[in-house]
Amino acid sequence: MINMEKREEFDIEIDKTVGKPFIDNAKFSTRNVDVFYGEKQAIFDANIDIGKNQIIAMIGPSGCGKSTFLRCLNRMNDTIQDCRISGDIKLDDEDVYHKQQDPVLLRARVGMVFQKPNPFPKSIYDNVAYGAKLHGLASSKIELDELVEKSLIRAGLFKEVKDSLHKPGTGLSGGQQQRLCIARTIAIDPEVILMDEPTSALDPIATAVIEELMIDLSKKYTIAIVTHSMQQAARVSQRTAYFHLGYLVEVNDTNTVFTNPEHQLTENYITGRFG
Amino acid sequence: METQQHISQQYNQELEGVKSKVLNMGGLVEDQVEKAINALIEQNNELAKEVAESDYKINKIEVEIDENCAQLIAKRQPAAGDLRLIIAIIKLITDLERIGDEAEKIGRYTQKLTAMKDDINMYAELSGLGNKVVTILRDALDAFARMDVKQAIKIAETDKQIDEEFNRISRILVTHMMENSRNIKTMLHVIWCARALERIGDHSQNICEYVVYLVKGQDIRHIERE
Repeated sequence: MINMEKREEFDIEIDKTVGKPFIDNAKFSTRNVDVFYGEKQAIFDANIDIGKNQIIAMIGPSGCGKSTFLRCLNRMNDTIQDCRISGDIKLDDEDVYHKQQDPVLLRARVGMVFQKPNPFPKSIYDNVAYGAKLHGLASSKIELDELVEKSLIRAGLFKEVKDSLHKPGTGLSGGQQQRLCIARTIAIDPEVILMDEPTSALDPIATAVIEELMIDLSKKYTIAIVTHSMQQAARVSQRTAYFHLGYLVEVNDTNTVFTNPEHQLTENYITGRFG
Repeated sequence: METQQHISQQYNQELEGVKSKVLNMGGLVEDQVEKAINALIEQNNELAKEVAESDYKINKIEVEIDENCAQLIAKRQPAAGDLRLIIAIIKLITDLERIGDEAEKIGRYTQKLTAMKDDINMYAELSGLGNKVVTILRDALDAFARMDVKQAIKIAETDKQIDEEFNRISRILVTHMMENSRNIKTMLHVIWCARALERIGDHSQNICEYVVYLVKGQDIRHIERE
């Protein structure tokens, strides 16, 4: 249910999400999603499709619910006590929150990369091989070697680390660590990669490398990225979703959002009229 | 449109600064055009000289605004309405500068015409066209200042009248040329002036189109309006 009291906080009315929230060929589709942390409602009636092999960027001021929404998609919010989710979230028409859905298997299909690079305190090799071993994706050492190499190549890291695969992953630079985390994610061959501010701890060069990588990866995977950098959203994504105080205000082609957004709140945010 | 101020006061000031420079430039251009038309109709050599020699002021402001816009893009990475404003301004000042050139042209032809001292009866005919041109330019700049889309669309339509008026004058001038071949040189100068006026109308129409783009985000150039 939509909380009408909450809506009165706006100077400008949010009736429903404007733009084009629904598309054909959706990988994820969410309908009437509400999220509560205890008594507090964090997301109000979010309806959106995430297109297959597309990059969708979620932007909005701090506390607008974009990260919360992203974490609903692979049930990362399950780990948070008193977080309650209602509505439908479907991955390829399969209910993500169905009783028989195994969150561990779900997260293998929907991988995640976080703001701070978080490699395991293990070797580079083991970092990448870890998930594959866990899910039994390689039947021999040779197969595992191949998988690790392939994943590192896809993450654009192999050349830099091929002679130090058995050195600790934590010894790499920030940008390299983040690419290691991406390699770890793609080693288990997910369908979707969620990225929660993946470059906010990186310098512009490392950021550019990751952005380039994202565009390359989107040929094979569906990517949803939460970012505070509007330029980043503009650079990498095909569609952009704007969140405001828990409401999904506008979803549109990125080109439209950054040149001629439909909603005044979107316009205000991307032109720097409030933060 | 811009209901709210930017968080960055500096950014606000920079955008406002550029906007007011554009209006300033618009005022100068309008002034030049009016003087040029008066010089032509009254065959005032001195005024014509003044117009022909003042165009550099407009060019100088154009360069300045271009520089400001480049810096705004580089430093602020404007988006949405701000981006459209800057793009519209960059285009608009090009048209303003061209209008300035047309006024200068009229000034120079008028100087030649006054030197010829031919007693022709064409200047009154031109005053009707001149009035229409001054009006469309003033209204276009006004629509930009107030960001008034409705007005902009309405004004853009009036360019057709200017084109018709120009065609009418051309026909008369051609008739004069045919009647007496000694008139040809003079008539050619007059026709160039009429042509310059007609071009100012076209540039004013462009300005109106930029206003629509700026406010609505729609590019209405090269499409038939209903």
